[in-house]
Amino acid sequence: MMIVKRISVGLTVCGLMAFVGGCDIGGGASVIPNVTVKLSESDDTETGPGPGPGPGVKSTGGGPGTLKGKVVFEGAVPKLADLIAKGGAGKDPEVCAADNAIPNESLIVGDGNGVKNVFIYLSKAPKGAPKTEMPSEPAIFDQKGCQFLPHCLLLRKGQKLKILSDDPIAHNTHTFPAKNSSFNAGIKAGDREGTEIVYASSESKPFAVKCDYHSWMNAYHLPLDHPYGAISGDDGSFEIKDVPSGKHNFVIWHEGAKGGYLQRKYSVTIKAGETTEVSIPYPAGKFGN
Amino acid sequence: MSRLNEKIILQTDSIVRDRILAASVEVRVVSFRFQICIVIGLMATVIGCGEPNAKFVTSDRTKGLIKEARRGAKVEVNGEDIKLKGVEDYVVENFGTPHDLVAWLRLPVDFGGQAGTVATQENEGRLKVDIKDGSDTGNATLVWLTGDSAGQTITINGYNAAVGEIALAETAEVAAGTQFVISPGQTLADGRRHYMTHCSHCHGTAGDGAGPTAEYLYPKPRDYRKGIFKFTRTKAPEKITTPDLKRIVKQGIPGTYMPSFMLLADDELHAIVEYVRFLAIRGEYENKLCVELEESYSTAAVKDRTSNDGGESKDDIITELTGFLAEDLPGIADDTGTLLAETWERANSEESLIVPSIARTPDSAESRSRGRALFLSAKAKCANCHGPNGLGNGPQTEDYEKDPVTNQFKPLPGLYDEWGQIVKPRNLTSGIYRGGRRPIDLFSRIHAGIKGAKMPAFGGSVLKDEEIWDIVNYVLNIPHEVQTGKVVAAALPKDDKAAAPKAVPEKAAASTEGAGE
Repeated sequence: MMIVKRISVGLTVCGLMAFVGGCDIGGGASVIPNVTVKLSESDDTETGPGPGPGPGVKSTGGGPGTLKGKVVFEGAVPKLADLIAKGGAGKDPEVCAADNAIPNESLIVGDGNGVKNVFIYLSKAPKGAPKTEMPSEPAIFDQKGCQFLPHCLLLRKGQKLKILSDDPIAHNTHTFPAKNSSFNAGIKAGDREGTEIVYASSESKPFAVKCDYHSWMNAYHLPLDHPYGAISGDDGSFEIKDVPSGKHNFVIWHEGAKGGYLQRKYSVTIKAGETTEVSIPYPAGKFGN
Repeated sequence: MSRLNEKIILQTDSIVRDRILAASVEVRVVSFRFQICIVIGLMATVIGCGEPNAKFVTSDRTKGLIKEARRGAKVEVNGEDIKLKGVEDYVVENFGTPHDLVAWLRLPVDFGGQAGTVATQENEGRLKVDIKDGSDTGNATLVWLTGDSAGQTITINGYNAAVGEIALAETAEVAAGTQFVISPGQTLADGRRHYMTHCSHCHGTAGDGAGPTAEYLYPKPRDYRKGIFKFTRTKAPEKITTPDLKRIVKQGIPGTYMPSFMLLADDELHAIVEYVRFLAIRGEYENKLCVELEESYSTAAVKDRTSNDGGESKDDIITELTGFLAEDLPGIADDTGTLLAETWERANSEESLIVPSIARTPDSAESRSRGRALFLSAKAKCANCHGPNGLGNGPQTEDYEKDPVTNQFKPLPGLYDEWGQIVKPRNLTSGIYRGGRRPIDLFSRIHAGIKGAKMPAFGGSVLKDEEIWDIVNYVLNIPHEVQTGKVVAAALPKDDKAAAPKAVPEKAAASTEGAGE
């Protein structure tokens, strides 16, 4: 009686298991799928239901204006310890941090509590913005004393990026973009000619660039498909020229900010021929890295 | 020993026999309840495994988006409901489901079928056509690629290759020069069948590397959806080629669970490879659309935006998203398809291929010594990961990495790949090379690096081609070294004895000390 009971229960369980989930193993190899052909041409030319209030903001016409501003830290400025003390590198100490300590660059506060290395940019070009020329000069990304120079780099999609090295040891440059394909190549010692790469897509926020040999080395790159962006300087100030007049939502991004964004939509109205001055607050509570 | 075993078996047998006998006596008095149970169990076992419903799983990235970004939104325009497509809609529209696949002809995938052009219309029922290397068919479907009926499918009674004629099942008028495909998608359908038989239990139906077997394996089966494959003969930024994939399926990946499928017929291998490329492009397409949306419309982003700090309202965000879905996403989806088509096509072009500028340096003690010196040098830093003796235990394997996105330290030390797995640098003393053991395979690994892993590209900038060959010669000899790390003195270049590498070179020893920084 017990055995029969066990057999019957066992069979039921097995059967139900097979019924519920087990059958996915092998995944229907015997099924002959339908195949629908979709032609190559783009068929998404039909327009959507009228203009919605998209994130891009329409230019109101009239000439361009200038946005000038400063990112200001509010509250007690945290003191960050150096990443590597002078002469204290565990790897390649004859080069890395040999002349200077390698600072923690995740928050650099300068004169008047201005915050360096904050990205201020439009997520996309405003509608009706004039076509602008691509900078003919390549963007330069160098490394010295096992530190990337510059730490933050803004460039244009399609613009050449020259990776140099001023160190007598090998580095590698490893990018971690969201849209572009990642790049990971060795950079030879003292390479002043440089390796050229191009970002084929714009990105929606800055991404990390690292050297895997020297794990403290990091930098941020942001390729955009328009010129409306800037990185704040030593005193936290920045300037974006020739912004089409109208209301714009700027993205304010900083590597040290919790979640990266200081502001996702910083609204500014640019007036033709005028300079709009802004002060962007960086509350101490936002700093989190 | 064996007598004892026999005794135990006999005893066990008799116990079992007794029980079965007892059961058979009692079976007649089994209650009705149990009979029902047995019947249900048997039925479920037998018929439960009908056609399983295979699915392309939604990626975690897509799942992280808010509902409207995933599945689209409905808007009312002039009293009419219009559906705006979300990420999942675009993926299904362009790639289909495992049961209803879509052959998107923009993609550089061989979907199969016989492509041709109409030469002349003989009469209402017959077409003279040009099909390169065509073969006879019976009843088949035909899809028009150009002309007024572009995109429409018809049935034909057959194609006669000898006379180059198609017999139409229904009368139709077709202009000369119209392009068509007979039996479109045949290779894709075949590929799906073979893939589901041979590949899906590890790589998963969607190529997500998460088939039912996957959790028991290390290294994990490749998740194709990033569009990245490790072992390619293409230059650093390029994707894998079709011949690379075919070689991997045929040879397997030594040292992993990926077996060789040498016994499959050539057309089966071809169909599988094209299906894998189809899945990889599908996954990458989904990924790229998510990237466009997740900064603003992931559940986390919306939570952040509607927080006290963010100060936005959910309604405003949805209105903004609706605008994005209507105005921006269609163009982005279209461009993404074009971009993927270009990059996957470029991988198969000649300029993407790694071709050494010089022939392999003949293997000699001199070449190996030079290779070893480079292996240990600060210039190439091979020993940094592979260790001074090639054991795959370099100091870098002890380093804690920071996550490039969150900037937080990883919980365990080691080298992480793009899929979030810790990968060990190859132990070069084993003589097992995952990407292939031909000298050109090793050359390609050093030249272009291992894509998706930490091994960087050394070709072009850091190492000249002849230096790469020296390292290849050295690395191929490591498993056969009589004493690890020792190069026979007589074999060294004569005027270079002073610079001969020592068993444990100073440089490597110094960096080992720095391991725990």
